[in-house]
Amino acid sequence: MKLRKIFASAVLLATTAASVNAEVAVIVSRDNQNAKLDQELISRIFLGKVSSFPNDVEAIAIDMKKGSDIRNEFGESFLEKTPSQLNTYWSRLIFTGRAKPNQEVDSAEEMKKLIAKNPNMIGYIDVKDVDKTVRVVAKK
Amino acid sequence: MYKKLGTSAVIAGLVSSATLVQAADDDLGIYGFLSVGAAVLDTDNRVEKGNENYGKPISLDGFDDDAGNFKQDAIFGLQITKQVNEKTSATGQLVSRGGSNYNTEAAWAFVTYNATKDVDLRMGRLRIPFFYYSEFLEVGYAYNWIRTPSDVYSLPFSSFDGVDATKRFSYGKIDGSVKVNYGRFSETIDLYGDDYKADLTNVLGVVVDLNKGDFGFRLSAQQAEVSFDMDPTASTGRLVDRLQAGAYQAIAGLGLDPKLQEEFDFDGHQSNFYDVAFTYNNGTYGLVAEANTIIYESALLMDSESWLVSGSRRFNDITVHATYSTSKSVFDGGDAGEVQKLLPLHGEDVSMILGARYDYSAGTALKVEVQHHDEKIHLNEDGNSGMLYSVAVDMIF
Repeated sequence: MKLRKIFASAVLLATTAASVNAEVAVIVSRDNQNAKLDQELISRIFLGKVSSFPNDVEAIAIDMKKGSDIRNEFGESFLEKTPSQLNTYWSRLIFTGRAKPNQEVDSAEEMKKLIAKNPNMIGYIDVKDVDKTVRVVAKK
Repeated sequence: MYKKLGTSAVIAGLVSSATLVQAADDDLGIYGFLSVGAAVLDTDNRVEKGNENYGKPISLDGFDDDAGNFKQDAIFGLQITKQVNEKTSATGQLVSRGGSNYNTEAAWAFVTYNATKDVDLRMGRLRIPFFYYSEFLEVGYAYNWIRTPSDVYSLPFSSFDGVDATKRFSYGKIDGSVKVNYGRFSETIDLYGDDYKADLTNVLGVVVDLNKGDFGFRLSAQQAEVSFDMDPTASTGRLVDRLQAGAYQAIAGLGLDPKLQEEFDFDGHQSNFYDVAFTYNNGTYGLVAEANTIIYESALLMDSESWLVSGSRRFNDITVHATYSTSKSVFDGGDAGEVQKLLPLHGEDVSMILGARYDYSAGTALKVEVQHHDEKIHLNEDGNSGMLYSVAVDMIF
């Protein structure tokens, strides 16, 4: 009996932990011709290293607001960097005028609206916010 | 037809108002960085009486007496970027340094023209991209040290006024860029603690940057014609003036061809700089190795070779790092080299740095560092060694 209780709370704990780490969907416009993108290329686009999609069309990365959970989640899973590491990375580009930070949006709604109408843009939202206005090219 | 025209006019109107809204959103960027720190230099006076360096503290990164110093590491920078139109932006960066009495200076001030999505042209005041860390040297937050190792990062020049062109490219999984810079620099600089009016003309260089995954490689070659307001007859007591006078005397004393004097001038002499850097960082382990050489055609400044290797290991928010760096001057060949050996020019330094960085919040880092610096040879004689203990807070906003 006691054992079952412990087991139950362990399961409960595990589910809570899983729900903290939201699954992130990387999205593009339905007019974007690239079916799937791998994590490596997504990372290079968001870090300003690559400026085109595989079909040679210009790629513009859109970030969620700095400090937001979804941005930190995307940073961990797709860019494999902590917020501090990303800040260090970007400070080298910004203070040398080499690049300016990606455009930011405040919400999943805003992100979808922006992405839907521009085939050059690529962004990310929580998987549960995905709808038919945008297309998912990667999930993690 | 009329209707069609009307529709496209409406579409054009919509598109341009959308662009306007977007431009108003992100056309002005304000960024800043700040560092404050405290350090104590502790010299071990190991040389004996009679040595030129007897009783002298080592001089390290502007710390030149054995006492606490709160000012030298202080730095404040403010950068404003204004997007003028889709292809053109203006950037200005003002930097105020404690080490130069908080005098504010425009470190960067340039206009960028994005010729294509992969080509940028810039004009204005830029940084000479000598070393791997040159262009963000003052942004302490951007690296693990409190300051870059001065054995390697020792050139008295940093900015230039001119142009640069950068071409970015990707080749398979390798991302890279090639940058060409050209310009001029005229300013009063500090040379061995004395002020000289320096003029760098025809500053011409190329930088190649390659990245693949966790690996990075960078190559920089720069050249310039360097001249200073030399006066070997002056009684100002500036070291390089006295060196030039000493060189002329030595040439006469050794009975060498008086034409050799020209080699101890700056007029028309070119200087060359080459730097190569290799980096690796997988998020947990990091490595930086950098080596460079400076070749002055003028024999009045010694050629030098320096290198560093630095490793780091991250444990969540704490990164520990260790660095070895060294530099040594190199004598010219022939008679010029013989004259150089009679002047107090030769130096050889070795440093070890042990430090830790704690990422206290996403934009703030606390750092502690211990540096052992050994002036093996200082002004041609045995030098002293010492420790520099430092703490600092670096932030960006």
